[in-house]
Amino acid sequence: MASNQLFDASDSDEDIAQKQQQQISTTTTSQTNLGLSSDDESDDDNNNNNNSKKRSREQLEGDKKKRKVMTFMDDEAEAEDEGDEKEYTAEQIAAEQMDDDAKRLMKEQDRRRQNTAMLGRETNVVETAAAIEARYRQQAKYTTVESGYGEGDEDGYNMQGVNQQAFMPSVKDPKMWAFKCIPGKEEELCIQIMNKAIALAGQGEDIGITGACAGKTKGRVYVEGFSEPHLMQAVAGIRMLMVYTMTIVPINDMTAIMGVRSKRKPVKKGQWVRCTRGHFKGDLARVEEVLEDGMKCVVKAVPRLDLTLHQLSAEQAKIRRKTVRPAKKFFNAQDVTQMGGYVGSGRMSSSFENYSTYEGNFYDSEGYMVKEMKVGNTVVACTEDTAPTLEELQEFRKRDAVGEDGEEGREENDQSLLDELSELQKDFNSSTASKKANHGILLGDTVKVVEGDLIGMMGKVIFIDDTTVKISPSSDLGIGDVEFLVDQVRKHLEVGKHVRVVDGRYVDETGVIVAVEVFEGEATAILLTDLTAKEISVRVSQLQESADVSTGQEKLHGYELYDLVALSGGGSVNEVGVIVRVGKEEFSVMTNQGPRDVRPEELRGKRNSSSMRAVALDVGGVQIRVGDSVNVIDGQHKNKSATIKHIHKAQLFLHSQQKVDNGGIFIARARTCSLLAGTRAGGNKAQAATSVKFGGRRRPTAGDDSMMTKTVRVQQGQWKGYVGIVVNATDTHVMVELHSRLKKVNVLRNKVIIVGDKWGKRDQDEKNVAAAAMNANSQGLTPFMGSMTPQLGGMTPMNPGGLTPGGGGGMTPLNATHYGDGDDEENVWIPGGLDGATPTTANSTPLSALENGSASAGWTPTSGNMSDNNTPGWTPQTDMTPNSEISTPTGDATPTTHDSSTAYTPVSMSSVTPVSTPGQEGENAWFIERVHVKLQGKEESYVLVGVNTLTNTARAVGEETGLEKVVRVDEVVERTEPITNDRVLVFQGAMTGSEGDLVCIDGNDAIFRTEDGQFKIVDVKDVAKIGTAN
Amino acid sequence: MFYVKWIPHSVVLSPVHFGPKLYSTITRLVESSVEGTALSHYGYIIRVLEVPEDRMRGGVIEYDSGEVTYEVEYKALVFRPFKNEVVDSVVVDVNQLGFFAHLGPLRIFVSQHLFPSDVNGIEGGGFDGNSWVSEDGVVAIREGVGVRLAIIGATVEEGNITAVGTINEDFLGLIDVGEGEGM
Repeated sequence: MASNQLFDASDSDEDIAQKQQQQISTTTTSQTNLGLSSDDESDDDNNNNNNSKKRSREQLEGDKKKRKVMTFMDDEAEAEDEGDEKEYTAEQIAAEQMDDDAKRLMKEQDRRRQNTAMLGRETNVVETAAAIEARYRQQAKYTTVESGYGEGDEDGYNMQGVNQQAFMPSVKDPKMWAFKCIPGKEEELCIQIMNKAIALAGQGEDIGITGACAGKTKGRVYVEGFSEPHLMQAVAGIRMLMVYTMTIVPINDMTAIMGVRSKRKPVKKGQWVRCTRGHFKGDLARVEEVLEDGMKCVVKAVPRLDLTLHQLSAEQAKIRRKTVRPAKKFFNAQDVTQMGGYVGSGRMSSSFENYSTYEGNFYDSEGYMVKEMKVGNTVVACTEDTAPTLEELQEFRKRDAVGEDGEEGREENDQSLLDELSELQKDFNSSTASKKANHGILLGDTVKVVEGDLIGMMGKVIFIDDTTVKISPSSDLGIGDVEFLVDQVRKHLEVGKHVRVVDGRYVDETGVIVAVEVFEGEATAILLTDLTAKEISVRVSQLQESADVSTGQEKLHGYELYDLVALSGGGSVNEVGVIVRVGKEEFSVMTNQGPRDVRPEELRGKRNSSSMRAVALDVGGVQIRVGDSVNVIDGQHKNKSATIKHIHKAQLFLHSQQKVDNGGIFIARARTCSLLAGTRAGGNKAQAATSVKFGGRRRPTAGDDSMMTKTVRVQQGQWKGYVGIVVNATDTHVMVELHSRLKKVNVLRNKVIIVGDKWGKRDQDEKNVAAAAMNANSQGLTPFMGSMTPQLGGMTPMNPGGLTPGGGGGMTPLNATHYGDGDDEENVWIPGGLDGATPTTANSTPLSALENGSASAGWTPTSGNMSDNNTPGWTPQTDMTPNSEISTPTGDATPTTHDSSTAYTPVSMSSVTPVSTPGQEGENAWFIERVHVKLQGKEESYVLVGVNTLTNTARAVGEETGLEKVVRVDEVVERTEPITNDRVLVFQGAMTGSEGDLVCIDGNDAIFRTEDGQFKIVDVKDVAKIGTAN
Repeated sequence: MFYVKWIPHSVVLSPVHFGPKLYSTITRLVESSVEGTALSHYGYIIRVLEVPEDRMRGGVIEYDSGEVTYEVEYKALVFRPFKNEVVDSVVVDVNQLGFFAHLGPLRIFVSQHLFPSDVNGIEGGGFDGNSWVSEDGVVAIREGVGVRLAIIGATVEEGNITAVGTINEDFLGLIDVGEGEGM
């Protein structure tokens, strides 16, 4: 209850009664007057009085009753306690008003009294009526003048413009003194003074003061009067009023006394409140129970316990209690007893539940503190500014989450927390939203007129300011652009429109409106979001029409949606997942254990690049890569077709637009999927073919990591001479983990040479490799070397005795099928064929070899200086034939190397040597695998196999006869001139390594068509006829 | 709705293609790059019907790459969904939010909010995990059935169009219960 009480210290009963009558009539008269005046002025809407605008809006919110009773509300008070206004009950306001009104009446009457020297009964009804009339005429004048600045509304209510200065006390007005008194007795004292005044009036005496009141301050009574002696006289004999404390109230402070006391907001059950005192100051608590009509409540809060307290002496504990604020911690009876504390059990006065007690506080079984608090005193309801944050709520809920069902429970909990937060925000917003000027209307929005003559009209907003919008009607009404008040239009969004959320929790989401519903007077749209295909409901005022499709938040700490990331912690060390949602400060990552929320710190980097290079095998053994469309044929997601987003080992992270959960990502094993026909990666077949040809995706930007895991020796600088393993590589640097020191050093790439593979196996001809590394540290070359190295290294243990060439290795039938000629399958292995690439990978598993891309990445046609020396037999083309047989030959080739290592060794030699002996170029560059040659004195065309470039020998196999003989390069007269339709291979020049079918020979140019349908033109000297690849 | 339209397009060719088969290369590239995609103003390019040579204009040689941009026009069969257009489509996916239906290349989403009220649970019916079933059980929208729906909005994104439809109007809804499991 507002404790303002004021009475008029006039001299007689009648006078008082009269005054009351006057008050009543004041209210009615003024309202009538105001109504009239505002009607007159209602056209004048474009006023610039902000204050009045604000007021009018607030008033609109209130109920009519309130509006009426607030007529005389002092604006001063309002300014002070805007937030609390709504809590006023009608009586309080009435009382409040009465004060002000009475005050004014009082003043008037005083003046009158002084002027006319009229006292007591001398007033008669006629005079009073005349006086009243005069007064209200004056008042009406005020309002009429000022309503020009105010906004009228349908009630004709208009009080905004009342000149407040007119009511402010001035030097002419009575002065005010404050007396101290016993708190709580203020009203009583006022009544006592009033009684005294009545008594004196009965004796025909004037008490000599103009009023007494109890303000909002406790223990203070204010008395108004013109002279101090009169005042002293008036309060003399009033008990409990400490006359000696009399102090004068400065004029400026007088209004403050009459200010409205902020009312304590009653709380509701489940509401969030904040503690205001003690250790708990600022802590969040939840109202569990409401007592005394919301004036008291039982709250639940996270305790702040100092368990060591009772170990201290009483004095120390006292000091500690005052100085140290214990950390938030859930109560645990065991902990307390362990520390030597005593945990009792008991019941709160207000509830029947049994709680643990400790140090005078109650704790429930979950560890929360349960405490009875006074509303407004020790706890206040959360306001917009002090709304609970997510962290606080999380902290509050932590207990439940852990206690209940672990992870899953937590997720749900988080979700519900978010919901709760948004609800809270909504609550706070709804009070502020209406204050917000324009209902979220933005330039370009479509709006609908909801008020006025043009109700129902729709148009586009072409101009907007604080109060008005100008809209261009969507249907041509011949009236041109029309201006409206902001309140007269509402944002209009139709079902099916594509919108962006511009505010609120879902800010920046875009989607299509699937429904518009009206919740509690507020239009709410349900969106189907573009990104996750989930439905969200958003207030229309938070939406804006927009054509662009955002994917919500896309980036956080450098990670993007659908990145393949490595996770730290968790179960396995190498857990990876795909980001399916990017939140404000965390990600949802889909792992093979299902989705989980991860903070950016928990991620250990992206694995996109390795995924892009990865190749998996589907159910039919067909290679599948990122971007391919597959059909899941088994498992949980059977019959779904989806696109491969990422590959990790044999796991496919598949994306389906039709899946609504987890951003459409789900996981399947590669073996349970089958490649959809005709859906090669990239959608563009030409491109796909290229990428296939050149061995998967090249990474144009990322560093080449063929250096990875290689044993290298540092050639220059501080670490010169040190040998180590490359653990990381960029375009320019490699990080070398030194063998001899427990240290990783960064060294420029060109300052290291590869001296061996992962296992330190050394190259047979280290110099060559080193030289190659030195002169060609281009990206293209390095992998070439990289791929060579293991080959050689890998071979060594298999050929302990260095088997002689020509030892006719056995062929597996499968390999044989790849022979160009088909005959003589038993003995012939054409390493330059499909299998040619295989040895490269002999040292590692086929898949990993492909994954790290070493076999192929180097063989881009741009690989410059090295390509001239290239062994055509090593064309990646054959490696990566579109029919995706790579896996098959790989698997089979390995045993082959056991059997026909003789055939094998030369291969490696032949491929290495050209690199190290560039002199060969031009003369015998064609002396390579598979090339068809004519031998001296022989008609027949021979195919070269098992070329040994060290000795410049090879086995030549007769094309028709199948005769085999070892030839030297100088025995070979010439390579066979290719003719149309022959399979040709470019062995020198810029396009070295290209292979295709000869289309024609045009002068000096040979035109051939490559596998992927491209036509290439090279010098006829640069091509050699070869055995077909299959 | 289907249209035959002339549509401009530009093709970037690398010099390697400059030869007798230039035009056929351009034609091939046009076909491969536009067929199956959607353009915001035209809709889906279902098929390129014609890329006449007389409508190919040689463009500018890019100074840094040597590539040449050809401005071409091609005649194509396009499919463009319109707002309020009533179409028959096949349901391909049903979930708790509604269902997705395919109309050729076009994917249409029908939200449960745009179902008749006896299907979406407001007045009965509901989602049973596989299908949306009406109160009386007569209508069951599951994968493979045919529905007639009205398109209420479409968005073009990255060469694809997604539409939103409704079946909450007269004469809309289930029209074909499909043949067993298949479509």
